[in-house]
Amino acid sequence: MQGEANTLPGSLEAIKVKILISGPDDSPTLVRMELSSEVDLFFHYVHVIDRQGYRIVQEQQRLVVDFNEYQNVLVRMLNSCIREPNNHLAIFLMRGDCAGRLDFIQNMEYKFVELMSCVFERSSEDMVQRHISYRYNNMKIKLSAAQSRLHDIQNLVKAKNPSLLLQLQKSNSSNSSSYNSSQLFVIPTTSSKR
Amino acid sequence: MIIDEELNLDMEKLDPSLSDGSRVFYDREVW
Repeated sequence: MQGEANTLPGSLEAIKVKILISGPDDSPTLVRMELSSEVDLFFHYVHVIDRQGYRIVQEQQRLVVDFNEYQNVLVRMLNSCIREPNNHLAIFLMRGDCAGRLDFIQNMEYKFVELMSCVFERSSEDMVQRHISYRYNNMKIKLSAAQSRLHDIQNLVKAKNPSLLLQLQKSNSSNSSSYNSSQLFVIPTTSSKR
Repeated sequence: MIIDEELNLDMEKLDPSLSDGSRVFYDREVW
């Protein structure tokens, strides 16, 4: 990730990429790519493109695939970045005016070749808020399910092997006391300015 | 765990990304 007009240094971050399509898989009417981050909950950018918009991009970037293949090309490039991080790079440039650009770059060892660029827009405040609420509730439900399962397992161990449960509880309490003393949870109260 | 899968399916309906009727084609963390 890089800041405004290459003036700020970039950072290496894990970005969650979601590609969504409308219409059939082999002939979509709309392709949307969303970028979010677990490090910054307020980071949410979206790239939306339809058949007509793609024609312009295709011409500008001299792409040889047609729109029906676009989502597959994106998937291939993203997977290449995961599998071969030394040869394939995804660089996200952020501009101050809520815009961003994702560049897919291939390292040919003697030259960096720009394969494709996707233009992004920062999601609206309302959409960002909805995503944060969704992720928070999703996590809360998963935590509750995991706690209830843990409770069931504890009951089972208590019935089948009480001494094992005692041993587990002892080791758990010693772990949690050291954990509590070193962990701090920080909840952001304002949206970050990018 | 079955319960998790069921929860995921239920939660998916509430995903704001899907509010316009589109569906997920790819969902992964990229470094």
